[in-house]
Amino acid sequence: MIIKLCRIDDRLIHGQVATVWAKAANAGRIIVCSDEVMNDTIRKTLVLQVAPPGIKVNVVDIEKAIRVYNNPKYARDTVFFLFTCPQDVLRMIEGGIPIKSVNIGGMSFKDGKKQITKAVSVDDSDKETFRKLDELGVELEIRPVVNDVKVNIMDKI
Amino acid sequence: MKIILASHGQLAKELINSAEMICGKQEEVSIIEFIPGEDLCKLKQKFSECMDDSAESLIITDVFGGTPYNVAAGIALQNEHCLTIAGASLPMLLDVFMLRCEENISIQELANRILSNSTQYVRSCQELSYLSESEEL
Repeated sequence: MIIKLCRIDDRLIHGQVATVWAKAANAGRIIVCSDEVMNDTIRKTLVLQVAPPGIKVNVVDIEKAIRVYNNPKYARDTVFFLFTCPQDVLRMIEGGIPIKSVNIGGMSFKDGKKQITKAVSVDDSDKETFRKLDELGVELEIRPVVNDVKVNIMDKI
Repeated sequence: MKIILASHGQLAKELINSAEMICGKQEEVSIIEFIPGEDLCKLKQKFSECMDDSAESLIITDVFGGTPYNVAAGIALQNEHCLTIAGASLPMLLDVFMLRCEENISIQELANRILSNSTQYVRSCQELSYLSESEEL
């Protein structure tokens, strides 16, 4: 598979993703990589329902995402990987997927998280994971919309 | 290509604000608000202030047959660089902003695409709920 874009956004496919990022990524397929969403019927149904026109959407767990990436059948397919959290990105990379850059769109505020930008909140585990990703040389840029300026998350945590 | 959004009251301004939440700041956009108590003359004047005769302009109005539409239609019928469509909504506006970025798209082509996409702007959750995965991986 040819990776066109990787984004962390726990709202998954919403306005910004459906209209702007799907177009910018110019990928034939959006794959939501998340064990959690895979096992959540409502979230899964919604994601499939709001697929942007002309783009295939799949929801798979991380293990399957790695298998699919390596399947020669999809070698020439272009893909937009969508994640809910950095931990899943790290699992993919540790599974051998060559992710070089991650766009951080939205990580919602929950108890125990600290808000670092309008759309991004992190806890200790997230920070730790971003540090590991940074050490692996992965670009980690916060950018809600394509035209916004990239902000390196490492400057914020 | 310039976009002029004309509405009854402040809808135009807020539609732009909402669209920018989703697709970022937009250039070359004007809004025209038709305020209670204003007459046709005043409204026509507002249009002429934001029109540039040499540039292509797409006027989007809220209700077909409403005053902003009627004034805009009068302008579009006399100006070959200008088109008017009615039925402004957030999905339509997002569609317009995204299509406008396409290279060499003409104003006529853009308007045609909006009209043909317009049936997709209203959807029913129940109707779509039978959908399954696009294609099993």
